[in-house]
Amino acid sequence: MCFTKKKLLFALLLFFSPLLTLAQSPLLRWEPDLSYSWKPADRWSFNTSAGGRNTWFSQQENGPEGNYAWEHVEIRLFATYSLFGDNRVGGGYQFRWRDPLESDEFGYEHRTQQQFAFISYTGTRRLSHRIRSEQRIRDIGFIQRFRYRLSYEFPLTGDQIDPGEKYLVLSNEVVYSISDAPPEIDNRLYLGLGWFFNRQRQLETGLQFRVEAYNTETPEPIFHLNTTYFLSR
Amino acid sequence: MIQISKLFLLLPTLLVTTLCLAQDKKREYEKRIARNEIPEQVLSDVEPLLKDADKVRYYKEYDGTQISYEVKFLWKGRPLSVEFYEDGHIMDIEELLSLSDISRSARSGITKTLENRFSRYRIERLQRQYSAEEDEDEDEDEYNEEVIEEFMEDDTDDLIIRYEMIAQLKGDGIFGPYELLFDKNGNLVNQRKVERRSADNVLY
Repeated sequence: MCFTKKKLLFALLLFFSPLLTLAQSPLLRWEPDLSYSWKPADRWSFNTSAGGRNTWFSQQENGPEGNYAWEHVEIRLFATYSLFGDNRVGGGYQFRWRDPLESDEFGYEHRTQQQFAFISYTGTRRLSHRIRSEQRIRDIGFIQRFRYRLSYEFPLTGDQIDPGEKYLVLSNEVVYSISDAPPEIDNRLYLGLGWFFNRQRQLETGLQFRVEAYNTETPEPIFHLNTTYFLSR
Repeated sequence: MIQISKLFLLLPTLLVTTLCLAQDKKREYEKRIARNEIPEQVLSDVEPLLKDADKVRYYKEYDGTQISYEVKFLWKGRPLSVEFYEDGHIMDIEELLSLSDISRSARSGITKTLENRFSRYRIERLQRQYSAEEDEDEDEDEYNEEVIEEFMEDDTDDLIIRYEMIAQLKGDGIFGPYELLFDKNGNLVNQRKVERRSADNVLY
């Protein structure tokens, strides 16, 4: 795919344009993550990852502590079983510490996840579907979520993503949440840039534009900057 | 907090070791290049085909052991690629097609081989390869010319025809995407696992 600079600039402007309308906090979240996968057999693969969330508020909403907060840290473990034809089922567990630096407000969340994913190749490009169900068991309540994400990846140079090359990934995810409160729907649009160093190492960073609870009268737009370093063997 | 940080750093590195299965794997790196980066001789050899070609693209490839040059184009509507070794010697001409496009005998041979050997299969990509037996008395230019001319004239009696396939396979002790090479009668000549880029970024 030969992306001209003008086209790329236009796509980026279009993607970032909602920022102009964003006048409320939080303004930006950054979620760095370290992911490690291993494959003990043809059909089985495992993934573990650890990450955290840093938030910068546009106004002084965080009180005397300023406009920055370390919101949570989390660890995850996921098992995936490959079915015939690039279909995969899996399940995982995640533990999250909320407000880890606040001794009096410290909270937790256990999360169990079930997933079905299938990948199709259009030439050498990848179209991936992920359907996930998850249970968020928190000290402040329970939420059941259903998620669907569609991702499309393509190389910035050449016809396929080879070691040493960069790629773009575009995805959108819809999240439907059920709890004691009325159901909420979130939408997450993501544009990421990846560096495929080799089969063992890959770095991806991108901006996600979230609109949380967009089916309510008070939808909340949020920008997430995600940065993940993927290791695998 | 220090304990949490330690856990945060140690967990990803402490988990489980890997059992590596030794097997032949397909690992090709392909980079698109400009026409002027292709050796002159390769360009002049492929020129007869390019006269009737559309969408011409040039690539440099590395398969883990050797460098090669590849020219991809549509020739009279047929998707072709002509690959050359680094020294300018033609490797083969490949034509992208579907199983229904090939001769009945080849199709039945390939299908039979797949059905006898694997419990499930799904073909993702099929190419017909044309190459020639190398004659020691023949120089490189003559050899390249002969392969290209005979292909263009559809005079394939002296050419070696093989079929290269990427397929999802299950059975015979293997599982996943493989590259298979068949002779013109559909007998399996070679197989190697296709190693794809990790899908972690779209799965987790």
